[in-house]
Amino acid sequence: MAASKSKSKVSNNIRRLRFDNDEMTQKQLAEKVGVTRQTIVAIENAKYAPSLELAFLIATAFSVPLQDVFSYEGK
Amino acid sequence: MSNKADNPHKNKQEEIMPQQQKSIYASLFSTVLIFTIYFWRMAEMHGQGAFEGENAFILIGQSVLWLMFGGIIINIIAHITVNIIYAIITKDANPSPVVDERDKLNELRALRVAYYVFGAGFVWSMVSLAFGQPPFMAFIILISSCAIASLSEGFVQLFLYRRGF
Repeated sequence: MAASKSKSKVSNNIRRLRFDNDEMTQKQLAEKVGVTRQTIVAIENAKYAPSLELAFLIATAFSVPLQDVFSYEGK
Repeated sequence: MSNKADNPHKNKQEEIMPQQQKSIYASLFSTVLIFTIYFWRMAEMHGQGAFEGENAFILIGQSVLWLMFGGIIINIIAHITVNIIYAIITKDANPSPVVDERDKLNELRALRVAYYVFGAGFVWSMVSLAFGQPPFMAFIILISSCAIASLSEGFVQLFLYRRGF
């Protein structure tokens, strides 16, 4: 659940996955996983690294495995 | 990628301020209001010399109890008022009550700042006592630090939201 000071080392493909899923809006995704739209915006911009549970919920919302949504850019 | 996927929809539903931000504005408003009333009343009583007699500590104790009681009442009224005003402006009778993990994390970060501010105020009040200031002064510093800590908490949360964290 930790977010770094600026950009998180956890990158994601949420924007592309939303596009691939019938141009799902941030609001629709937020409602699907039970968070605010602002949280989706923060995750998409890599300003916030979600909890493991939320990460799985997002992956489930797109019906893809977790590694297709998030990847770690650290060492 | 299409613009539709990149940009959030600009309809009313998506532009709604999250519940947490409304709560912060309500808390900031009620904090400013209650402490303004409190310090105005205390200055008035101090001018009348109410804190110089034997009953000084009783009066201070009573004023703090009134501050706590009044704070709760004003906070509740402020939250209801902000929600009503917001519902009228946005014409949304059922705003989303979602408070998620990021809200809680930002809340904890802000609380940590408030804790440091109050801690500094507490140390300052003890220093004032150690340097021979009257106990009334120490109480005022304590209450002031409480007010500043509460305001800091709200402003830090707003800052985190505005920066997108």
